Amino acid sequence: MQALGKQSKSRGRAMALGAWALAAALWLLAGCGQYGTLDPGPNPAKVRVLLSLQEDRNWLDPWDLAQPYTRWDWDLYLVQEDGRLIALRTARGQSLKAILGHKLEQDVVFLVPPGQRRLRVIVHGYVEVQDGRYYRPVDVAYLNQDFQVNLAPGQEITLRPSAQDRVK
Amino acid sequence: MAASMQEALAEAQRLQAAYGAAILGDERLRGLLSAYQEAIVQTAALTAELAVERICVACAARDAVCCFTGVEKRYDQYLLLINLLLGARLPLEAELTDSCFFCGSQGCKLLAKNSFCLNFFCPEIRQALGADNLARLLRQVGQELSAQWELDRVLIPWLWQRQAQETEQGR
Repeated sequence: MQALGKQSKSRGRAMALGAWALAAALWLLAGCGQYGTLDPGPNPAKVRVLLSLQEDRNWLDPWDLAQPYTRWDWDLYLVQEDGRLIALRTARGQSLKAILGHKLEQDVVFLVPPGQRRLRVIVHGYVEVQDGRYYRPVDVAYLNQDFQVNLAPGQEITLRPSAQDRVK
Repeated sequence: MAASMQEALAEAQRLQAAYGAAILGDERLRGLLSAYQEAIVQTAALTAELAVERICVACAARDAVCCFTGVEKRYDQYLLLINLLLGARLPLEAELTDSCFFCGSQGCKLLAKNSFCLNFFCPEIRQALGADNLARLLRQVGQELSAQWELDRVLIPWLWQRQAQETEQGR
């Protein structure tokens, strides 16, 4: 059967290339180290991040029909002078996305180039809220905390982002 | 793949085979589909202008896609039918493990997306966009979802009515 028409098909193809399209080549690169992360250099510092966060379902409206599962995404970034963020490489290549649980307990080591650095931990916990046939994500935890560090080559430090710094 | 997903896909294919031509021949439905498609294109254009794709590509490549396993269950037979009407090719099997059924090596295979997927902006994207650009994008997403809703509220009763008529005739 014909779809909406030739124009539609070409637009459809254009759509497929836009928005959330991910280049196939980059998927291949994903298997060759952590593409999209900062190269930590030959003798990086090791920054261990310990996280212990709890969801807060009080952030939901009382009438929200929320799914019982909370998913967490988080990462440690280098904040550049212009404010842009570059994700830092984990030492063991752990996945930091779509982690299920009412609590987030994490112990992950990141590789960071030595020197004066501004690091940012961002944690995002969210649930699906249903409106009839439609769903939307709603935050139930959010942490955004910066750390100023001066790292020597090979140095190991530990960061403990605190729940007090959560902002809604 | 969950049985319910298979059922939704099969039902969408059945609906398209049974009613696709009639839907596209209906002036009102065709107009609503065109308006929805235009909104989808505008969202894609704005997303490209704001370079969201670049952030997503880098993030997916270093870790995994945020399109988690199970989010495909938010797609029912009606939204899948709309995808078919718009010309999307629905997969029969998942291409990637540990991610949404509709996520492939070149991103999402769907054209008509669920409101969850459209409204999900991770903190990295939020911070990269800034408040003004995020608001722009959310407004456009709102336009797209509004067009989807306008189509849904006409198409779904239209399908129910057709099915009811056929049931009556079959008696």
